[in-house]
Amino acid sequence: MPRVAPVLYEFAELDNGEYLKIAEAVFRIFDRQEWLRVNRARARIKVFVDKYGIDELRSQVEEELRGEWVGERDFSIEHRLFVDDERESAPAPPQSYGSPNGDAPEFERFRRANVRAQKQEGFVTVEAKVIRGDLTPEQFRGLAAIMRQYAGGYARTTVQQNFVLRWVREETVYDVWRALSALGLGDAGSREINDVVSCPGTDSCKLGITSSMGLNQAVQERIEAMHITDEITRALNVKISGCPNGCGQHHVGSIGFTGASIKVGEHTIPAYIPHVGGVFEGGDVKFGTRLKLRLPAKRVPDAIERWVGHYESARQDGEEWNDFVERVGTGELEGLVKDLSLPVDFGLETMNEFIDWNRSAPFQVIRGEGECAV
Amino acid sequence: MEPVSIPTTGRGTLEDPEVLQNVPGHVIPILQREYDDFKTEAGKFLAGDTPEDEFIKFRLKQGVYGQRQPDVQMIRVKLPFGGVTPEQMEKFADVVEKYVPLNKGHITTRQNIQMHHIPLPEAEKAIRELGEAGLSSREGCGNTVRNVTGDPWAGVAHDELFDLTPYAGAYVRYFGATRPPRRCRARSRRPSTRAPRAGRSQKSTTSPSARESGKSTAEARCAACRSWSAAAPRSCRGSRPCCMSSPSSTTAST
Repeated sequence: MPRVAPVLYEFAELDNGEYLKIAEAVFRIFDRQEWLRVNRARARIKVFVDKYGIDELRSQVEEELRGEWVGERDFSIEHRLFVDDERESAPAPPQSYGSPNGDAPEFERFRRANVRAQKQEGFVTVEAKVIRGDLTPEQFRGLAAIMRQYAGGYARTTVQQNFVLRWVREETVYDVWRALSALGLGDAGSREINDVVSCPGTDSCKLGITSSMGLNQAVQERIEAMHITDEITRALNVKISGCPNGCGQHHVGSIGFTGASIKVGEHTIPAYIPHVGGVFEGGDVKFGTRLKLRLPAKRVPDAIERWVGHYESARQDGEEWNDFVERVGTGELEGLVKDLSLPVDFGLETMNEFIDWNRSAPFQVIRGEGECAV
Repeated sequence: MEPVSIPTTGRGTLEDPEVLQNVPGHVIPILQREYDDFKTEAGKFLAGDTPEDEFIKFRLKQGVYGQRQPDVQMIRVKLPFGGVTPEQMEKFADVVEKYVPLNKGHITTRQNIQMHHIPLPEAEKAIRELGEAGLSSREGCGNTVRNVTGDPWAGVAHDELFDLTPYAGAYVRYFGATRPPRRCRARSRRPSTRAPRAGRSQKSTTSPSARESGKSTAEARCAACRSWSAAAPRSCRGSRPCCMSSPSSTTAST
């Protein structure tokens, strides 16, 4: 399970390389913790902090920084800085550019949700929503062409599995949107409720319990079908991890899920443990509260629909999701989906529940040994 | 606070990729010999000459991961602060078309791009071709400093105090240096059930491999995992091969 990182130092200097020195001191301390490597799942610095606390780590860092090794290092950063003036590669003002023609409402919605003004006047960033983080060769090439023609060239991927074009001339945003749409990447609402994040799960990962990519698709389809237009409802985000390790960032999602299972006699239902009220933006990090139930994987979209419906009908004026969760309490949210969490008996009619999303064979928990701490 | 004295000239070329230059998308130096080594080691493993656990340590250092499906690999390309250029995007397209059965690349929740289901004999070709565009998977897995993430809006955000990009790049280069800026040192191992403390009592000696090479800052090749060792504290450590160490990796992987 992930942890919120405690603060080691409020401030470390950059220009004299102090940040490198402190980081290396931490690595050196962690590197000596043979006891952590006895069990691969515990070979993490968070386990050290759990056991000894951040103050003990800090005092060890202080001691480490008095070691001989410090004098043998070159922490100067001048020759290591990655210096790239992206403005130099920014496109020239366009000779001509397109403007909405019958598609103004859709474009306006995209512009409001996916486009941000840069601090450099006349330029904006455009965030393309990449569904489940997957890109085909055509999309890779198409994005490359858009980057060359309309952006500064050097783009960024995001931890929400999206793609940010930078140094786009404000006038050309409509053309960029059209070009992205032709690639299937022009959806409005990056980082909104239908921009679901997930790890690869059992599609490929040895540690995966459930098909997080399959649930991602199912949740996304359900949310699209709900036609949510309310802006503060759209501001929710859904994040899915196929196991408790948390690569899908479920712990910081407004609504998050971790892959699990429910035993029914000899059979097993793929399931998820819901978390609600996580925060990761605005300089704040808060893990969501884990609900005290498990939802069969196939019923997760129903649960989301009930929670969102209840939120929209019972919230106070302008009340954001996390404040709502705080006010009504997790018990109320559990109550809303209690019936969904009850497992069914294995049988022909209920077979669907025993098969994970995007799978055709009955579900089994198959977890290999990870390779993370080899 | 604006960072002081960042030079704005000196954009380099790609002719000598081991020299740190300020070319977009080329934060991590590319080492051609790594691909030759990977070919050799994968060949030995496939021929049954290397035990699997030994080979796993080697391939992880090269960012080649195992999957739940046997005999296929995931390759994790590191994109420091998520930065990627048009040439690199086109290279991803080519590599995905040639070697990735599912015909897609996947943006991860740590700003990397990974590709799945690549048969091991193809993995060397894939990483070599990715390297042509300056894309590196070195230390994308295993006990290493993996990707260094950063705000995708760094440098253009209204509310930032300064642009973190140059410093994130320096961090990547310091901990992924091909020429570690430090002496190789052996270190006493202390099996312990409690957190061992650093102590000046811990006497260090120059390691055998450093003595042999006669250079304190030489690159070290790990005797066990055969990888060209890179990051700081494990560059070489006498009796203990680099792949057995575990200097970082504090979160779950993706």
